[in-house]
Amino acid sequence: MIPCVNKKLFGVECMGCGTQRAVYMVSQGNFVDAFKMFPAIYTTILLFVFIFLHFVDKKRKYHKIIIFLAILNAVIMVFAYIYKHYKF
Amino acid sequence: MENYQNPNEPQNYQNSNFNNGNGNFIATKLPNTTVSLVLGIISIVCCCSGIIGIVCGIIGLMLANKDIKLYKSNPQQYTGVETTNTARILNIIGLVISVLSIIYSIWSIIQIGGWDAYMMQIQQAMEMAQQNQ
Repeated sequence: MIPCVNKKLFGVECMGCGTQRAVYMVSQGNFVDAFKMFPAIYTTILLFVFIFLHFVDKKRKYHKIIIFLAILNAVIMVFAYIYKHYKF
Repeated sequence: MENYQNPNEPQNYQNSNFNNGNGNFIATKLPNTTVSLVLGIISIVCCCSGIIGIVCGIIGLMLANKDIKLYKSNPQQYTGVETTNTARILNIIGLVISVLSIIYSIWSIIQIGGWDAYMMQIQQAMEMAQQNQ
């Protein structure tokens, strides 16, 4: 696994921390654990699926759904990060 | 490479006012769409390491803006402006996440008590790790 540079340099977890572990967990079938590790994992996977489709399938247009998923992804990442560190 | 203009490439036909005989310009793809899209994806994924995300995001945003300017100068000439818009938004998101992440890192270092205190803490952690081994 690639170590997080932010974590190495500053000792603080970044917003993307847990992505690789979550992907690994999904590949192992631990879907709930993956969500707990990194809640944005499923929107990230969907985003990549649609970006892949965008490159492969030239007939249809995926722009709106890609933009929507990217924004949703960013929002989930930020809120999950805040939740993880402050636990209201 | 950017300054090199091959007159046989369709994207350079605009200079010679090339048209296909019907009075319509032959539509060509905007030059940097895919590159800026990929850079946007990288900047979202690599938001982890702040700096990479910021660099990729800024480059991608510049490329996308350049393409949009090109498109606006001659809307009939180019296709694929939707992709450029997508790439631009992806870049902006990646950039925002990277910047937030870096700001949080700096803030947390300040909270610990400045750079020296932070280095002290890291050294202590290293010593602890060595003792545990």
